[in-house]
Amino acid sequence: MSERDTMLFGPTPRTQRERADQHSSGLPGISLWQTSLAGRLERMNAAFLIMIGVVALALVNWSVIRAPGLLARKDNPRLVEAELRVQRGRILDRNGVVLAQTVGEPGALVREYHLLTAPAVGYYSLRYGVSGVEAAYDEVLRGRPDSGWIVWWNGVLHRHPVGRDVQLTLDANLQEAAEAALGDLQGAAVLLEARSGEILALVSHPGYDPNLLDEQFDTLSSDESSPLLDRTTHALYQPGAALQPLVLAAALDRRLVQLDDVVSDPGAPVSIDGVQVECAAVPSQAEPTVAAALSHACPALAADLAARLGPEGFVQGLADLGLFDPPELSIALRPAGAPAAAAGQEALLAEAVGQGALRLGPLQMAQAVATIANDGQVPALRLLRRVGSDDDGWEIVPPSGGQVADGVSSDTAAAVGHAMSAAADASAPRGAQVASHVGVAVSGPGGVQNTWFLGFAPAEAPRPSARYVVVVLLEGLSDRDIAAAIGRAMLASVNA
Amino acid sequence: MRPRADLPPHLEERALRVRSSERRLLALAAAFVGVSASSYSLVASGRLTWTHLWPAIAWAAALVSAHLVLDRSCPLRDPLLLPIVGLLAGWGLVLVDRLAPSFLVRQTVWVVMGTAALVLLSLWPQPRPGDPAGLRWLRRYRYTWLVAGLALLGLTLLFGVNPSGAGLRFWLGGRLPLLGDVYFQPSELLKLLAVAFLASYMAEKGGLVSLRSICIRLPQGAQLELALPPLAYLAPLVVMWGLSLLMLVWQRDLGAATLFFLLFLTMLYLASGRWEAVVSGLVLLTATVAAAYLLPLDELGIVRLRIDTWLHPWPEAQGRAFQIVQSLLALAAGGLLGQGVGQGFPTYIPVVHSDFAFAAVAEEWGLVGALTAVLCLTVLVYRGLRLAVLARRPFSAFLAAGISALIGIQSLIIMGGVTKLLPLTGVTLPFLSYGGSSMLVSCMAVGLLMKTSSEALSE
Repeated sequence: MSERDTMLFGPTPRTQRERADQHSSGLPGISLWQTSLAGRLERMNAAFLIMIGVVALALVNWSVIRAPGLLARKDNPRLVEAELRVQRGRILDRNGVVLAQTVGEPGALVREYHLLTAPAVGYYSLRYGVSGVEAAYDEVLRGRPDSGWIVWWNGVLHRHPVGRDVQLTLDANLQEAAEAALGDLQGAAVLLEARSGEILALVSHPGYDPNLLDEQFDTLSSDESSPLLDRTTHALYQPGAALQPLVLAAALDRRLVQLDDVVSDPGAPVSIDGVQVECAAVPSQAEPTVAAALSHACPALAADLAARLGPEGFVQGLADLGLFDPPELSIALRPAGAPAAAAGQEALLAEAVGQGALRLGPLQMAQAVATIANDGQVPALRLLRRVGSDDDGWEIVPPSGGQVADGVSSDTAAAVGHAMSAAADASAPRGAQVASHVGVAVSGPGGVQNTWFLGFAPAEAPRPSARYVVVVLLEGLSDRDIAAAIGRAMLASVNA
Repeated sequence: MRPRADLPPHLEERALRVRSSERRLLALAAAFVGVSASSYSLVASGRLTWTHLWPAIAWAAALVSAHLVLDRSCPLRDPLLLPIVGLLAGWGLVLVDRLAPSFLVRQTVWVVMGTAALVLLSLWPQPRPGDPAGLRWLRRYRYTWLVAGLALLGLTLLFGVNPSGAGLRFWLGGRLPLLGDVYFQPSELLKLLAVAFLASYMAEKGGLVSLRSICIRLPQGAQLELALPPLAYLAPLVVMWGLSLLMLVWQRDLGAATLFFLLFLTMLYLASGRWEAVVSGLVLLTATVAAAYLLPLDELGIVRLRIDTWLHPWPEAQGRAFQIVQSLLALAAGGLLGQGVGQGFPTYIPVVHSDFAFAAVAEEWGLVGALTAVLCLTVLVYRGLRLAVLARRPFSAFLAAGISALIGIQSLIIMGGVTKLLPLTGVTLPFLSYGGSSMLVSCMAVGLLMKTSSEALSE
């Protein structure tokens, strides 16, 4: 040890420990500077280990403790990356026509819509989420519901989820025909088969192109005509004169009236909040029966029937038709509520002519019409036919059932159908007759008028032959002829 | 095979133990790197391809050669150093292949050159009677080395470039005939030269640097104890602080500035044994950073940026704090076991291959992998400190301690930045990150450690 080395470190030992270090330097072969440096190195090592321990704890914090919250952040690009690897199932129509499918390579998958069925099929967008059928059957389309361990194991192996296909009851051809029938008009149309409850077409106008949703979303969402709104499921309208066949069914079912009863002064206008509601056409005075009053959509008939039913009978009668039970479809639906048993004559009158608080969606209206077309029994509506795939086999999805409405007697149903067909289609050949009713509703402060068409065909059809129900709603238009033409075209398209 | 003919018998057994330990550890490292490179090849191309495997083969060849040469000429050494460096460097090669494949050739060349430098520095010059440690060339000419390092840094300040064409200009170099683009970062070399300088200075003047207590008698019998070093020996502290400040303001190299200063504080503590020096140094550092944060100078904008995004990253997750937030998301995505190499998305982090290699490790190898990397660096630092204890000469001891501190502080700064314990600063994670200068200089540092270990174990 050189002389220089001995003078290296501090003048006097400050602590017991340093004193001890100096004593130990008496050992042979160990220098003074080595012992005092060793103590400092030991402390430095301890400090370093503590700091490394803090780093390790921070790692545990981020990668385990706070990981779930972090990964769920919207700005985590891994969510999009994972989504781009989900081989989403196809959406097929009842005949196997592809309505939506996912194409491309994992990591760059694209959803393609082959038919402009939006908004019934809905959209699937990384930016704007899912809607319509895409939203309703999202879980099925994304894959088989697996247990936690299988999900975990697939994640470890980076297996891309493969979804199952969904086959709907929709018919692409009928859907296309309905689209064409509605043309440029704003509104909604529903076509279904009354015995099975299978929905064949759901149209909402104006629509949009789901293939271009991401590019056009801002324009679409600010458009005043609300193209993104699915009018069949999410819009509610006043029923107006369209409620008449249903009120008639309620009264007939309770034997309060018969089709050939005479109505006194059917053409008299009814005044609701100062607005005169009148017949669609002046009925001939020769034969003022209930049936004739219905065919001319006279409000006096509904007012008369409602008065006979009374507030509770009125609400219950409509409820029996399934008007207030939302169909048990998986798609999101904005259900109409039953009006509180109208208090007072004035309120009951307003409800009876369809100008009160009650608002209905086209799909629910279609369910009530289907009850009449289905011999008085409320059919369980269906949109989903089966799930699975051509490789793994298909699984039929039964109607979910669970209908609570009682329905009406088959005599009542037949009578209402008769009244609707007699009024609508007396000249048509037997077997091809259409039962229909067209009603106009005046709603909104500007007196905006909406026109309903309710119909089914064939008017005379014994079980179990099929019967097709159509409900059309035209927004901002009071033209019974156009509404009737569209409804008839849709009914005719079934047999085409 | 006998390790070396001239070894005395009592050391021969020790040499054989060193050889077998190092071989077993190298085999482990090779297994890890081989599996990682193979699985990345399978993920990226679906089969084992030359493109992804040749760097690992070159790496293995370099390590085997290094082991054989060291075994022959330097039989008594720390058997952990080469395997740890090898593991981290090989892991780094897989990372560069995965994160920035266009730099793969370059990085592989740097790894091979680094290994060569490591071996060269641990063998040369051989100990001689007048120079028993073989480190005289470094110890005696400390001012020369320091001035040379500072001159290089000065050149960078004047003529620095950035190989990517934009950004901070830390590099010297350009397109050379035959070799293509060659760039070197002098501040990396300066780190090692500063360690050598400080080690030499402290070994010689350590006692004088140490603080003296001055008692001042106050009225009413109270006493005030002040610890101050003699003024003349305060100079290196001031110079070091000034150098750090210069790097901070002129080069905006926050990481290097902090690293230099903390390195100096550590060496000062080792020489003086006074923790007050460390505390006052840390206060000075904090005050400097705080001043830089508060001063409305455009040149200091980077300090404000780093501190703002450190304190409040979440509101600016899509803006200025994008990098750190993406880094934390990568840690979270890794979870316990990681996504597997090539199967995560660490490339969402900007410049992930250099500053955020650690986050990429955490995403693809998980917490287990990240802790393994931390453990490797910790063991490396621990072995260095152990060598400082075992060293027979002050310079060797300080050199080993300084190199350990360099590796340890640098690792802590970047790992703390990636895990949001500290503000982010652009320093590399030793051996793992992409960066030729860093790789070469870190290998040289471990070469010096190896030499120290040989000295300590041979006597």
